Amino acid sequence: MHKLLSRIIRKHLREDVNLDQHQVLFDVISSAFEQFDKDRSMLERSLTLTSDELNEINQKLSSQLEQVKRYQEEIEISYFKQETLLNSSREAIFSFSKNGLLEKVNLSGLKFFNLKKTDIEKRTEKEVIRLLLKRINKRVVFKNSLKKLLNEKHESIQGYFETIDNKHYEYYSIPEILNGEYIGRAWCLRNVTELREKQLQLLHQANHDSLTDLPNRSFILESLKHEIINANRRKNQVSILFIDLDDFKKINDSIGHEEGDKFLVDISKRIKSVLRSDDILGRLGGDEFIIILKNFSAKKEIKEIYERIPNIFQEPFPIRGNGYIISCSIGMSTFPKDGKTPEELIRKADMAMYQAKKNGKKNIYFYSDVLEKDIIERISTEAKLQNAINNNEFILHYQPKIDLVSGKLKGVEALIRWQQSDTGLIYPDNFIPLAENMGFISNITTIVVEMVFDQVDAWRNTPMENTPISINISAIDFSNTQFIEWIFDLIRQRNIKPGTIEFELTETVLFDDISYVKDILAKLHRHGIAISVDDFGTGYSSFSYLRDLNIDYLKIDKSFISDIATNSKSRAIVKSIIDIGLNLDVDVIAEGIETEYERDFLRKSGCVIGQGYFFSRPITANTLFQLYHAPKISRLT
Amino acid sequence: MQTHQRIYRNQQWDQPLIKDDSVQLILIFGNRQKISNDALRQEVYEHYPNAEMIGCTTSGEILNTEIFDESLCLTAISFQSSSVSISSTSVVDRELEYAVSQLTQHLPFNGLKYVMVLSDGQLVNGTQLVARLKDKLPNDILITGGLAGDDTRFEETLVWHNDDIASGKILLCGFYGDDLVVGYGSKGGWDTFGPTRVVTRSHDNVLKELDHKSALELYKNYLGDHAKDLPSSALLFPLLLKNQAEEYSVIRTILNIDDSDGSMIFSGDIPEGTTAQLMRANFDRLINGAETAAQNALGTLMDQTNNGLVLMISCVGRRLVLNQRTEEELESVQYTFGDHYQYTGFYSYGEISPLVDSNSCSLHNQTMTITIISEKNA
Repeated sequence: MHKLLSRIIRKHLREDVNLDQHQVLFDVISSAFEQFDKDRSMLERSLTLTSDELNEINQKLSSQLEQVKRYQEEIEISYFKQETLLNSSREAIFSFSKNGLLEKVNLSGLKFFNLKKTDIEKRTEKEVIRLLLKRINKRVVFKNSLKKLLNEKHESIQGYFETIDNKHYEYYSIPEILNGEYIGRAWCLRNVTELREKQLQLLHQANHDSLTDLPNRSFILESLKHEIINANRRKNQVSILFIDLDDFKKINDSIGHEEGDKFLVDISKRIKSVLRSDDILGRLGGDEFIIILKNFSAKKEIKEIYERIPNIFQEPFPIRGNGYIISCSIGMSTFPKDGKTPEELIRKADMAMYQAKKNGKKNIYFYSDVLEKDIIERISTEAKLQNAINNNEFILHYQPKIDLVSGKLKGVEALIRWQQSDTGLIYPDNFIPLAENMGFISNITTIVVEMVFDQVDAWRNTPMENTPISINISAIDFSNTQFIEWIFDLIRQRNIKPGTIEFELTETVLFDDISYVKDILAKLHRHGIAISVDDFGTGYSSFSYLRDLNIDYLKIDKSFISDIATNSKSRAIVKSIIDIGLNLDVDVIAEGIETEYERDFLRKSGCVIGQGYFFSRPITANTLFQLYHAPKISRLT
Repeated sequence: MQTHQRIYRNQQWDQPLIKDDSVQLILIFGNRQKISNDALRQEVYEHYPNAEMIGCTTSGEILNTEIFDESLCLTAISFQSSSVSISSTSVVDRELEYAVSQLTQHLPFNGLKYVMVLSDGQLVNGTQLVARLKDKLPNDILITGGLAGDDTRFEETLVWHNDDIASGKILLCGFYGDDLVVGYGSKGGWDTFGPTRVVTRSHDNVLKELDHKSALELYKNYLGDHAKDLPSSALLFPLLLKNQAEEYSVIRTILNIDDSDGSMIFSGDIPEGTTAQLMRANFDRLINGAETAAQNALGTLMDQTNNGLVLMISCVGRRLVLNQRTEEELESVQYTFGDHYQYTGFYSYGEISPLVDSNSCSLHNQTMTITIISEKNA
């Protein structure tokens, strides 16, 4: 029974009341008391727990509130710093809310729009873009870029525009995406005017020659590429003129590089002055220029232009008060006929120019397939010649020099032959000029000298022992002191008798530096080497060197000899040369004697020595030996 | 409409059954063993040969203003001009949606005015049942009823239709007739207390976490010593659920717990994201709640009748709390309607009725739900 009920019964019921009689009633009342107790205790427990929970929540909220306050402070600081950061930027920065209202704009932004903050605040994105557009030149490009943003808010755009006051800006517009959700858009405008100018300047520098300010190789290639595309589209032509100044090195050497540079600037100006405004002139480097002539259908349309160019070289270029004349060689190639790519066209114009140069300079040559074939052939010959030198594919023939009075052998001229395996013998006229151009002449001379010395050795202790052998020495070799010294060494090493070796020089050799020539000639004489002047009469035939230099022989050029019978002037000249020789005590040798008449005339005129087919063609050493020193039974006449 | 009532307990009827051919419907609420007694059912059929017998197990049978356990409470109904049609099916091995469409297919809609639902209270998700019924039945049809109870054992509930007595069963009783008058009312009367919490982990009607903490631990803490009586003791603290927009609120009561994974099974869905607040009983307000439900129900009759059958379906949780005072809520209903009405019903695992001021039916817990069935001119 519930305690309280039990107490109530004890206190308020008379003792004689029979409790058992009301047991059911008491049980129900007791249960009701207990139910209320239980309910109250549940309620109290609930109150305590709820109160605890609420306290806990309260504490959490308080600490969260603190946290929120701290966050707020941090946000305020961060906001302030962000404002300062934005305002410290020279870039115009502004941003819009999710709903397209202007949220932020920095000081540079206000300056860009030339507005006060209050004037631009709360404007819509559309209004601000309209303000921006008002400041832009050529709005189409910018508007096209904006179109991207119309359909797709998440797009970023970037580009450049020019303002109406000619400033250049780079712009960026990026979406603000937080956790994948669009919350606004930021714009940044950067003034790149100076940068752009510098870039343009750099670009110009990268594409132009610093001396003449003309387009350089890479820019020419690029322009040419462009013009080829245009020509292809328009179905017309593009021509390249490859200009190379003739002997510019001499100018540079004589007036110095600084003046040489000025000279190049002058030339570029002169060339430019005769071109049309849209013709392109560029400098490849050194003294090489390129002209691009475009937009024509037939070569005759540009004939007038390219023909003007040689003319500008006719007037002297004034340098340090002197007038210098220079010429140029020009090669021309044309798209589409000669090539399809810039490189090919330039290469072929270069080939044509080279050919012009080879054929006497001061020329314009047009590229053609034939020309290319020639060049390829030449290149092939060059390679073969190089091989020939490496493998010593040369032999010597000797042409006898005969005493015109006694008919005896006076000496021989060593003449080189290139013994090619497939084509037989090649004569020096066909490869010596090439070797000179290629810079191989010294190698060839060296080979000749060594073979001659070997021959001298071979003839030692034979009747041919004292037969002088003359060697043709080029101007290049003659001016090379090392070469001369090497010969002297060789003479010493091989113990060559004086008078065995003779040098044949052309007149040009003798003009260079008179004191050097004198010095070398003296040395040669000291080593027992006699000197002949070859091809006398065709060149300068100057009396001054005959007076000043110690010459042993004059060789009359064969063009005079072969004329003796028909041309009285030739006869007179030959006689005069022979007289000069007699008077100066220099022996005269007649070259190219082919007839008895010629021999007799020369002999009568006092010429001592002769050589030519009348006596013998150039022959091998063996034949020579047999001819002059074998048993007389088999002697040929 | 005529009704008479009998109660079977202690192996006998309180009054002998009278043979009545006019009885069309018999409501029997009560004990599973007794209803399973073939001889007893045979006796009923013999006295009411034209009647359909429907009912279910309970957590307390109601007859007039009294509560009985281990009994069968019988109400025989003879309609003057109205009629009934019954459709029942089982959810055992079946999707609920399919079961409900079977049920509604077999129920004629022509002239249908009201549908009484009796459903298994353990195997059927009440919220989903109501949702499916609303989906399949015509919009203007009143639906009321309840989920069968099993005292406070929460083990097995039965629903029956004549000899078809089974667990996992749902039964619809359709009422037809121009003269038929049906009223309804429903009210809880519980007080919320403590902080509101958010349902952070749940699935259908299984609740795991509130505010990221174990919901079961929370209940155990609040129940103190009573925790040993779980799950029934959890009826002392129903949950008031509100959706985030606080557009509607509904009371949910616990059906079972699973200590192995700390989950609680409720009579209806507990969606994640809804807010939940514990509720507790206040005796007077619970009793007033029943009276308010009765007054609301009376209001819906609009003076079309002054007699009939009052079907009271009240929550087992209320009985658990009110204990000795439970019958007070029945008395307050009887006080409202008076002696011209007869009263029956049962304590259930879930009440089905429209919300006050709404025709849209839903599942309730911890309420007194009242349905009045009557005929005009009767």
